[in-house]
Amino acid sequence: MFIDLLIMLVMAYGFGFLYYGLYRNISARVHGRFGPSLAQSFYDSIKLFTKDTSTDFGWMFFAGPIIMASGAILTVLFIPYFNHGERLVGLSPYGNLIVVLYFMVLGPLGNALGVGSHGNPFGAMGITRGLTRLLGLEMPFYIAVVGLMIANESADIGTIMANQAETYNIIAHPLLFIAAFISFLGFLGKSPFDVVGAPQEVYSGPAVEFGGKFLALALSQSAIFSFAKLLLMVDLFLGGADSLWDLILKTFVLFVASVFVGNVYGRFTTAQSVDFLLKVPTVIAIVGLLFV
Amino acid sequence: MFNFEITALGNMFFGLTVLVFVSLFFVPNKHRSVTLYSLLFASLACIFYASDLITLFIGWEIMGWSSYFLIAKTADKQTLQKYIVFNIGGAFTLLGAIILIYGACGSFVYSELDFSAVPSGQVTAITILLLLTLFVKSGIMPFHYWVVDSYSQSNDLFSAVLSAIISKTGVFAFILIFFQIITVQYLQTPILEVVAWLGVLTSIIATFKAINEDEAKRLLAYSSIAQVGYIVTILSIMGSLSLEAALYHTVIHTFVKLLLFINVAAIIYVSKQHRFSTLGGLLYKYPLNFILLVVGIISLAGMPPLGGFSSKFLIYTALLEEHKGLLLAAVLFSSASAFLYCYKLVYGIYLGQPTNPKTEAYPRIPLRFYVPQILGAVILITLGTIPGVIVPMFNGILGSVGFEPVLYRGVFVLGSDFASFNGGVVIGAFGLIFVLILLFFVRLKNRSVKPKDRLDISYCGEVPRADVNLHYGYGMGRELSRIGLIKMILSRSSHALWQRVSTLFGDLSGITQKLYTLSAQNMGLVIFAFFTILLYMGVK
Repeated sequence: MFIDLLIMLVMAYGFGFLYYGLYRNISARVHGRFGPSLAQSFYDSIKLFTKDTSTDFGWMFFAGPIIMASGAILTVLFIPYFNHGERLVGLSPYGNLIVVLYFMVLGPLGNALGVGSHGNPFGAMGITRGLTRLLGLEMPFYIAVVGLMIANESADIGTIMANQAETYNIIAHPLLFIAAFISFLGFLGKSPFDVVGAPQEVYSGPAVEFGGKFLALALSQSAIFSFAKLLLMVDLFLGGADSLWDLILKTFVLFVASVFVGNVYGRFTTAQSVDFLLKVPTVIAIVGLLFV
Repeated sequence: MFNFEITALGNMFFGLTVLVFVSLFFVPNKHRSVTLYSLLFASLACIFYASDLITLFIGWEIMGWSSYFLIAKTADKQTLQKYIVFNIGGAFTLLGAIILIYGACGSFVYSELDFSAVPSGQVTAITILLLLTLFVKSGIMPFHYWVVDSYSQSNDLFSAVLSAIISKTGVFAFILIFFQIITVQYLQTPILEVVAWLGVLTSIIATFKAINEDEAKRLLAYSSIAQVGYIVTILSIMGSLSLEAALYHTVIHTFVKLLLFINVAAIIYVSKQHRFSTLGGLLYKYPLNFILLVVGIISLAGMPPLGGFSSKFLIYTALLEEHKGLLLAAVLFSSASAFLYCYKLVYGIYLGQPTNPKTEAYPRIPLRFYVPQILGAVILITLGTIPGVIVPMFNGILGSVGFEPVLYRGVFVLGSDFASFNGGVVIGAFGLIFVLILLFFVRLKNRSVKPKDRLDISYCGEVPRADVNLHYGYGMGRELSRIGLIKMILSRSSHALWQRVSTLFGDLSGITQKLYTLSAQNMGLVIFAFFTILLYMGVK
């Protein structure tokens, strides 16, 4: 059990950073650059863990990123990796889809507390942008998930995977998939919904006071969290994976799709992105729900 | 007359009342009035343990009046007028319903009421009258008009009572009347559908209004309206699981609001400030109060691993089981938006920069303020770890109102056949991961220095001046008004509606008034008309 949990965590960390490296490479090619080597993300992470941040704003500043990382790790441990239910199911028998959805927001709240504690208004501004965007992101995603739970008469991820043995949900419920995928782009922090950090435009965002080991923790949790989200999408819409290669293939396809969309679009403002998310994908999701 | 009966349902609500009142007894209170609080307490006992409608009505009236005098200690005239008009209206509809029930069933005693021979039109009329009463007490929109002002202008302690207990009397009466007395087979489904949507629309609108508030107690008042909105929505599903979910959420909300209102009361007590724009940066001054508030808001937002998640989970599964997808989507929308006001509450008071130079001089928070807060926090943490521990109580209530219990009888596990989760594993895993990362982190290099002062921040390469406002508390949520749908919600208010109703009543009373101030000739005419009518009726 504990070995399984450890393997799940290491895999999430490894694949998370590998995909992040690939994202940097693919984006660089789209921009006409070469980009850093694949291992650069790992180097960055390990290097930053050995450095300290310059200013210490007290215990809440310390605890915030740790709560965020705990939320991300907890999320990945509650999502089964394979659909045969034998290995790497983690803690999923003790939870269900609703629990996982809520874990996904536990991290951002911890982060918000940490960011608020240092008193930099630019940090709080980023957090407000993030929470406002979350409002838009959650709507289509939740409706899509509600549709799946009603269609499968269960909130158990394993059951939803098992019911896709013949037809994947992406075929059976295409509208729900489209809505969830648009939200998923935002959850991954890809354009056009990358309003939270928005580093090129304004000097603001949640990470404004965090450096060194805090930044390393933020980066690592973001890599783990991204993999958890990919995994969740694969489990819910692509029937889960039955082998390691299947897992890599399916997560990779989803990841590449998200990178391509992200590289084509510019960035929405916060209000625009929530407006768009509440109009287009939410309506698609509601129509999909009515079909269920 | 005055029949009482000890029931499982009454025990639960009265138990909550006792815990809240006893814990509030410790808190310092400028406007302490033993008589009024005793009267209120007695009236609540009367409501929860009544076994006939007249006793219930008497309790309801005394509750309304004693609350009126308690609010009157601090509130202004307009607030009091709103309170009294709405609550008298609610009491009248209750009285009307009781008279109709007596006319139809020939009894006031709960156990003797039988609706099998009552025409459905009459049952519908009774249902609507009763719903109006409950809507007023629970603040379902548009009958919430009195709620926010009364909550925010009451004495800080009484706000907690209003939100934690008095708003629940509506919930209690809903369960009593529609689950036990009239029962689901005589109710009209379309009415229940309307109630469900009213509840969820209330929670969505109240949530956005809360995000837009600058005053802590008004934010909490709107949040109360939203949370009770969920309870009403889930009750109108009228199933076993939905009743258990509503009961669970009632328990959670009682303790969350007790904790949060007293937390805010403590801050108002020491700082004399109640607006986010004049608070902020109090985290390291009052760390225990901050931690308790965080426990409260995590539960209010319904996040694992605390108790709030347990009740939210049951609400979602109850709606899923009944295939109420759209309703659930609306509940989720409101629930997701609630994160924003939860964060605003904690940020506005404790995080960010202090807006007041006198912050350092604020006194210590008296220890007595912690009694209700710690009670609330302990219960919320316990219900997160062992969420199944109060299920036997709910199952008992379901049995007493004739429903089949559906929740598992586990301690760590909460759920039904549809879905379940293990609270112990969730909180254990979270705690373990948190501690492991913390230990790893402490082992890493620690050479960072403390900031020189609060202005020592990364600020576009400059040092901000002391007179620049760096607190983002009250501006939070302002950008929401740029989003079409939310702008529409925020710009609407029920004020215009009630203004129109008030004008209408003014006109009607004008006509009635004319009857009393007629001249002698006209009076003669009225008497003539009156006798003509009598004569006509006699001939007929």
